[in-house]
Amino acid sequence: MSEGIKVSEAGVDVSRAADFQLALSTEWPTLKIVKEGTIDVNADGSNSITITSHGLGYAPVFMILDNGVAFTETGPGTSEFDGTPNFHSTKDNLIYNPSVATHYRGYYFIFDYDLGKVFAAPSDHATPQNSTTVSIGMKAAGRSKNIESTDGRDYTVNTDYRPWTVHLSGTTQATSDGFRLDHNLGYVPGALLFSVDSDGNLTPLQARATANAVSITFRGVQAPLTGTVAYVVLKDPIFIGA
Amino acid sequence: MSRDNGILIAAPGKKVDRSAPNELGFDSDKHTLMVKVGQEPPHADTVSYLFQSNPALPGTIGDTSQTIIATIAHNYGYIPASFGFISVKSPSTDGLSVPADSYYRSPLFIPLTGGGTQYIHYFVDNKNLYVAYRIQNRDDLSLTYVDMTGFSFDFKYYIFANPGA
Repeated sequence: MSEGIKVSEAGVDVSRAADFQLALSTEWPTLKIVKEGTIDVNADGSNSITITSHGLGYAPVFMILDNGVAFTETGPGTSEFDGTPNFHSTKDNLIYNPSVATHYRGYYFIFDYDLGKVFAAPSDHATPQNSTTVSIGMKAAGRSKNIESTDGRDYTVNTDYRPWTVHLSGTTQATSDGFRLDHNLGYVPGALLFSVDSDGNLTPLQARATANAVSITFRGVQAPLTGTVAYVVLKDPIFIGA
Repeated sequence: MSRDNGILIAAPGKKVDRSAPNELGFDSDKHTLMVKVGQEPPHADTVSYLFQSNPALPGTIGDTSQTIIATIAHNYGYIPASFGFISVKSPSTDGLSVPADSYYRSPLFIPLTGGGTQYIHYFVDNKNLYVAYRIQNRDDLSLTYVDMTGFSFDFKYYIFANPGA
């Protein structure tokens, strides 16, 4: 047995908590945010724009939130996930390269997570436990943040919050149409995909997933899914609430 | 009181002082995406929906209205980060080519049949998360769209405490 630490979320017995009910476990990683910030750029539809440099030396996992001005047209004051291929990460930068002229406003997260390394976590407990009134907890504030803050944004771990944690990650080849991963979690987990180009750059990829308690298969949506694909399978189930 | 003390914990089998930052089991200097638990309504949960009839098409060019399927209050007072997965339970009576029991990350664009673009998605503002169905900025009234009647799906949403704008 390896040494490690597990901390369950508020009200859940740590010895019986499902993996995804842990606020902290050293057995599997979270997507650590290495850089985040707003995007407000004018793209001409021809030239790429560097949103930011990250200095990680590999193309990292990233997430873009559209603040209501691009394809979704929900308007200012809103936000939603943007999985379009207009963004990609390189070993140095986060790049925006739309095919049409756009004034883009959004928010980005760059995670210190290298999909070039295969990772597979154990599956310890799959069944979630009901919350009790136990109020023992733990929290750690981020740099220069007040440990007495009531703002969840100030904490890097807090038992009142559940982090997204990684169950499987890596890179694989999709052949003919798609690929399958065995997760053995006992439920259907969420997942993120990226296409990988010959330079190792990552671009968000939409896929059709079919899954059960032990495996998940990804296929193309409107065209066959082929080529090199990077994946993150989350511990979190997609059909159980928090 | 704020301090710059911190905690580093190595991953199993690793030494904390020989681990690269992304190899650490925990680093109190690094934030991550986090969902607040124990909230009502939950900040991560599943919404189920069945189109009992086909939503009306926007009647004018440029109409950006949409059909709100569910509204989930978060009341953060700021626009939070968010994410969603859509699981198709049954396709529409129009023979929609997104098979049952498959899932996708949001937004889900309905495959084109008559040139129009329609999709299921979510968005958040500083009070709520909304699950919605939309005809994309209709710019040609001659386009046709899939009849959504009979289409049912589950939508798993996440409202993170992290900022989303």
